[in-house]
Order: sequence, then C-alpha cells, then structure tokens
Amino acid sequence: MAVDSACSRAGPRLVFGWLGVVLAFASAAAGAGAPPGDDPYAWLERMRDASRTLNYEGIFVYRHDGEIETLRVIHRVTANGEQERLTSLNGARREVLRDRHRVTCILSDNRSVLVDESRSRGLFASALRQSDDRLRGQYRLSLAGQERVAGRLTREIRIEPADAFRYGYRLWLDEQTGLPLKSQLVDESGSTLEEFLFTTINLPDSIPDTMLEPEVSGEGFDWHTTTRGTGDDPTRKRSDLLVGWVPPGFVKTADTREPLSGGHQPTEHVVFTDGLAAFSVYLERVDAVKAPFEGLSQMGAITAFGMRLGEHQVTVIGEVPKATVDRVGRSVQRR
Amino acid sequence: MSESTRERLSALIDGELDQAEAVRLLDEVTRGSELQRTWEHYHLISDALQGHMAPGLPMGDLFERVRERVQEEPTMYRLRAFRAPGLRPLAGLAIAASVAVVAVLGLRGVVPGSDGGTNQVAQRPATEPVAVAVAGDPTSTFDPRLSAYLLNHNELAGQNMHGVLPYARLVAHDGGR
Repeated sequence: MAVDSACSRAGPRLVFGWLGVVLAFASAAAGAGAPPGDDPYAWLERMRDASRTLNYEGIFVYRHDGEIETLRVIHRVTANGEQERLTSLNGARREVLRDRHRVTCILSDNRSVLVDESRSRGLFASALRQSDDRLRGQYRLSLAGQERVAGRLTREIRIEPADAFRYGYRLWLDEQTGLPLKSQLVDESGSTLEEFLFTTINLPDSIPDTMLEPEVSGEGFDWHTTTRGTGDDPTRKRSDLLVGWVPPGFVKTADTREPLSGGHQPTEHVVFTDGLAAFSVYLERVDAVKAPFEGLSQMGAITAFGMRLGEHQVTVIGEVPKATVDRVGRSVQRR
Repeated sequence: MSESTRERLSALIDGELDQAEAVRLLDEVTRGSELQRTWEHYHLISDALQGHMAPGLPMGDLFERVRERVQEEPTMYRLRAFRAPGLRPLAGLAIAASVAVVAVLGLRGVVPGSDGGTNQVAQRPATEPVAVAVAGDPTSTFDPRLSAYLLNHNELAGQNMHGVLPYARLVAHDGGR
C-alpha cells in the first residue's frame, strides 16, 4: 500500500520506485536531500523514499500493550533491491529476513522456519495515484516541533484522523534523511497504542553481505514454504467476497485467492487502504479453518474481528480501531 | 553514570522495568549521548555473549571491544549472571522474556507439524491445539489463531509507513500471553 500521499507530485520517480529498484539510487539521493520546508506531505513523501532507499542499521524498541521489545534492524539497498534483517534482542531468538523474493521467519526456539513469497509492490501501484487526495480528505497533517531522537535532530509530523474509523499518528522524522526515528499510533482518546523508537541508528555507505545472513542456519529445523501464483493474475476466478461497507476514503488495493502461510486451502482476501491505514478481509470455508476465531482481538495497533457466515469464516485484520473491523466484518457477504 | 542507572539499563534490556520507569529511561536514552552509548554497548555485549552476532560486522575489532567492555562493565555481567544462574554458560546472561516464549506459542498455530524437514507444505497442518489459553477479557489479548492472517496482511498491506514496523509487530507478536 503505501501509498504515497504525494505520489501525484512525485511523478515518475515514485512510480519507478514502485515498479522496481531501478531508480533506487536516485531516490536515495532525494531522500538525503535538504529538508522539504514546511509542507507535511512533502515530509511524508520523503520519509517513504528514505525508508526504502537508504542503508541503515540500528536498535529500536517497540512498545505496545505495556510490553517493550528491543530489536535490531539492518536494511540495505543494492541493485538487487531491498534487503532487511530484523532480529529480536530480548527473549527467544527470532529473525525475519526479507528481500524482494521472499520473507523468512526463523523461530529458533521451536526450530521452525517459515518462508513466504515477498509481494510485488506493483500490486498497489494503481491505487497510488489518487492517494494524496484521499489522504487529504481523511487526515489533517501538521508540522510540530523539533526533537532529538537517537542523537539526531528530528521534526515531528502530526497526523490527525477526520473520523473514528482510523487512528492518528505522530512521526518524528530525521531532519537530514527523512527516516522515521520515532512513531506513535494514537487512538481517539489520545492514548498511544504503540510506539516505535530508535535508540541508536547508523547510516553506513555500504553493508556487507554477512550482516544480512541469519545467525541461525535453520539446519535441522522444520521448513515450511508457501508458494503461490501471482496474486493479481487477471484470468483467475473472480472473488466470492463482497464487502458491503468500508469507512470513507478506503479503496481496494488487492484482491487475491490463495492459501495463507502454513496452510494450503485457498482463502479469499481483499485489502483496503486509505493511504495510511490498511485492513485485510478474508473469507474461507469454515471447515478449512483449524480453529475459527470469533469476536474481537487486539494487539497494539492491530485489531481483528472474526465471524461465521453460513459455511464460511470471515476474518478482518488491520491497523484500524475495533469499531472499523467490527462494522466491516459484519458487512461481508458472498456473491 | 551512576551504578543505579546502569542497573536500570540492564533491567530495561531484560524487560524487567515497569512500564512507567521504562518509558522514562528510554526517554533519557534517546536524549543523552552517554546513556545511549552505554545502551548500545549493553546490547552488543548481550548479543555477542549469546553468540548471536553475525560475523563481518563492519566494526573491525568488535569482539575485542566487547571483551573490553565486559571488563569495564562488570555490573551488568554480575547482574545478569546473578539473575539467571542456571542457564547455558554463554547464554546465561540472556534472560528470556516471557513475551517471546508466548510469541512462539502464538506462531505455532500456523506452523505445520513436522514434515520431515522437506521444504514444502504437503498437507494441512497437523492438528495441534494451540497451547495458549486466552484468559480474561477476550478483547484485551491477541488471539494466536490470527497469526497466519497477521503474517499475510503484513505482506500485502504492511508497506505503508515504513518497512520495519510490520515486521516488528510480527517478531514481537505475542499472542495470548
């Protein structure tokens, strides 16, 4: 998704960014350019460029529901695309490795490796063009003060939602590069649902391959690989999933039919986004679901809703308030 | 830096500070350069001692530096050794966060039963009851049955803000603690 609020202004550079990494280095240069003045949309655009096009390595904490996790991230951009390695520093060793082909989750303590295909961001390219206007309709953006985070000067961007169907955001963006060094997700009562905060960050010119290799080889682990066809194959069967209601400003950016990780039963899946927030709606035969989930569930910013619909199971999950997943879930029908 | 600050840092890394104090200390960490350096060193030490550091970090003499640091920072070493006397010799300093343990339980719901180490999922996951009891208010915890959806949603929809956060959620995912 992603959706680049300012993609209409960004023009061809951003579009190429989505299609591949062809112009990654040009974008990187833009990301490291001068601060974009007082336009918060320009700051957001710069943030998205920077996150995808810069090398960085650091330690950050992720705070949610009274828990604090410490993680290390290594992110590299080469001619072969983005590569990322994320490692938990407290608790059991878990790693997520990601490149343009696959996502690998290594769970060392139950000796399992989950491998999934990395998705083409091109799926969302068509939805990007109007997202700037959509964002303007659903959120109020403003620039706030400067603050030092991880030893670097940042500028705060406040993003307030126009209604109760989405959350607000506070972002602290590196003055020099636009990288988000701190972010908070805020609910309608003003409470912080989750916080992401770099405590140290480095921006090396190059990162050796070895830093992106998993420390756990996965040898002798159980490997579970999910392979799929392309999700946006135009010849595939039309989805049976009909979503009757979504909040204003949300549009469909993906519509697929494929198994979830670790499973093999096809699941109808559509994704909606308003330019910042996103949620997914799933529909599958209830007898294909091992333990159907019903009701509401929440972790940090993520909420989920599950419901039985005849012989089918409806699941809605996303970074939106409970009221949103609940109402969306109840509006789902089969064609 | 005071001894008590070091101890608080160590407790923070182990996840043993209460919420309010952790937030205060993190705030200090991000503002103060000395505290920040110590924080980073503690993590390097912790990582290296657990044998988790990938070779080839562009830090040259990292392990030398870590060894020196361990000598300079006996407080932390002692603290952790004291807290986890019975764990593996080198990993003895790692205090397992209960959160992480539960996270894996949560993910177990989507990991098929052992399939002999092949690289393909050939059949439905072996039926294995998810070993997490969701107690209390059903809306206050994240149900582990939703792990597969979360993973999938992240892949298709999680690219909006920046690349890191969706995976942080996944790594930190702690269904049903």
